[in-house]
Amino acid sequence: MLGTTDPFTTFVSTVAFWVTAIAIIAAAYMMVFTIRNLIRSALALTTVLGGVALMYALLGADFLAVAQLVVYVGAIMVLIIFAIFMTPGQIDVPGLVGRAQRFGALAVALVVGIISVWVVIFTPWHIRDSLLDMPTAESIGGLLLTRYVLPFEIASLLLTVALIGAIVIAREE
Amino acid sequence: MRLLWHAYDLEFPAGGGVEFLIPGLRHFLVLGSIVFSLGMYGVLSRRNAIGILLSIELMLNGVNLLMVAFARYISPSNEQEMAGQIFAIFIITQAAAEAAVGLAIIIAVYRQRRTIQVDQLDLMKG
Repeated sequence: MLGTTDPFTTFVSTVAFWVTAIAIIAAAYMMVFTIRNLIRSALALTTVLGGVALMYALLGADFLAVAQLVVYVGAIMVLIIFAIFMTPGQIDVPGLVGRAQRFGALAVALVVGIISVWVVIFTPWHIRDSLLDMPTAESIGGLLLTRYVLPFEIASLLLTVALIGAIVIAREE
Repeated sequence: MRLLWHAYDLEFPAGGGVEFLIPGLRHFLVLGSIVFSLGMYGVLSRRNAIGILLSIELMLNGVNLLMVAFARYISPSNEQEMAGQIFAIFIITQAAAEAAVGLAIIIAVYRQRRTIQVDQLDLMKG
């Protein structure tokens, strides 16, 4: 975890950060630019999701890292791969828009990316002095059942409604 | 380049050496922004509906990474850092619901039209 004063922990965190960051960016780049096969895109996305989970761990969000692994890598990716299997004949279709629109998409994405990178680098953030250094699961659980109990209940209702809706939409007539 | 170094120097006042390699707030923010814009290119450039959904997941993860990094580095108290992580958990929940409904719609559309290329779904085109 980052933010400790122990030099060895800092060294390991730094190496882990750079390896994971390069893996995330390479996998995301390959996913949108070079890979056309949907299954391989899904696997590249899995690499990104696992890397983001490791980033959460580096940021001291241990509960979130595990939730990311369980929900994204464990559930959503399986769902997506099932959906790919259930739409045969669509996996290897080139699936790209025309050259003009691709150029426009590249321009929009480049402008958004450059502006946001510029802004986050040159804004003088007020970084807090002492970073949190404790496990987060207990306090997240406590907050979810006290202050954030209403959003928590609404989220569970949303999940139920979404699942029932998905079954109704996708079932055979 | 000097400006870039100055930006790092604000965060690591000791300066010098390889201290700019130690990840701080800006490293995570830049990573999240890059992932977000790559996902945005994917959403805009794909015709396959499932490919678009995959790219949306990429964008959501970029935003989530920004949220957790902000929560860790600039929230004034521990409880507010937890609040940032709880928001990230709600975003993950919402992404799960969105993926379930979106894939159900895609499968229903595939049953009707035998295609999921979004430019061939032009039923409502005047």
